[in-house]
Amino acid sequence: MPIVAGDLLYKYTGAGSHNAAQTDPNASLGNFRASSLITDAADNNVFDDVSGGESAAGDTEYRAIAFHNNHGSLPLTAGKVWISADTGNAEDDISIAVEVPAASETTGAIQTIVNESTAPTGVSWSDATTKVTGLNFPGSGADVAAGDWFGIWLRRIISVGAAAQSAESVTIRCEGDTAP
Amino acid sequence: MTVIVENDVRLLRRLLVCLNYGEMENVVKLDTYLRQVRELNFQLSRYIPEAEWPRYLNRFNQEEQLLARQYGFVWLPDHVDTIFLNRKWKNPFTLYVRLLQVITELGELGELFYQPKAERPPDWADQVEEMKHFYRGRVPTPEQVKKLSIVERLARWASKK
Repeated sequence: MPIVAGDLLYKYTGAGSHNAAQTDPNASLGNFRASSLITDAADNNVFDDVSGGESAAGDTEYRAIAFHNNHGSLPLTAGKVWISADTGNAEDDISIAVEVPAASETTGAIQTIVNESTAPTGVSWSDATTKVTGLNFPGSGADVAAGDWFGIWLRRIISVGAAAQSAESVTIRCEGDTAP
Repeated sequence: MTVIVENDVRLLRRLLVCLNYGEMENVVKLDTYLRQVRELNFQLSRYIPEAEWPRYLNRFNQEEQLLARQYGFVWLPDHVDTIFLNRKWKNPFTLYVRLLQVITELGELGELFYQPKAERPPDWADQVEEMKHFYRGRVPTPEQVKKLSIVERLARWASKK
């Protein structure tokens, strides 16, 4: 049976060990993949609100989420990740980067950042908004084997003096090929 | 085959925005730049028979397909990808009308932000000048008044007769 959308899961990182529970979006700053799923299309499911002080001074924050191929046997091949929708305006910007877990692509960990304002190192940021310009899945052959995962880093930049906005969101899309 | 970069994708979306706002001169400018300077191969949905659209849109969810049908899409045959105008991108202030780099040869269209003319706040000074021009054109000259009075007199005479 081919991979279907339900086999592809978006989860938090920041777990103390592989597949441990971790439901705090603000603690999703790298390390092991959590077992906890990110609730789709929910407010503050990844980033928190921007405070008045943060918008006045400008603010750059980071999060890492996990993309997990939960299919029993098939790899997702020739994969790409990009920002498929964004309500952002002139005063904010979202970029993405990818990182493959070290030691094991199934049970390993990506780097951990000490706090949300610290940039991850060794990653390349992209503002890709369509598949053709999207980032290749990291690791060999742009594949994610069954049970494997990789990290998607998100960088949110709020410009100095940004005006208050409500309900701003981005949609991250991963797409690849599956055997039948 | 030209390597397409994110700035090209955003210009293609800007082209769709101009098309939706009926800014045909800008559509031509962007189309020419993308084809001749960037050497991109692309097809606008308006030139693809509607019966064939499903094959370009089947990757997308229902909402995305509706948006692509409503606002049009661009097919990139060399890259097997479809660019469409998400409703979030239709807002001229949103991120995706922002280019990543300025294209000076496109003038205003190549600036980081581009706002369709219909979305721009009215320029009151221009509007007042237009009104003045309009009313000036309606005020009859002394000669016109004279001619008018003759016509009126003739009309009255004709009606009495």
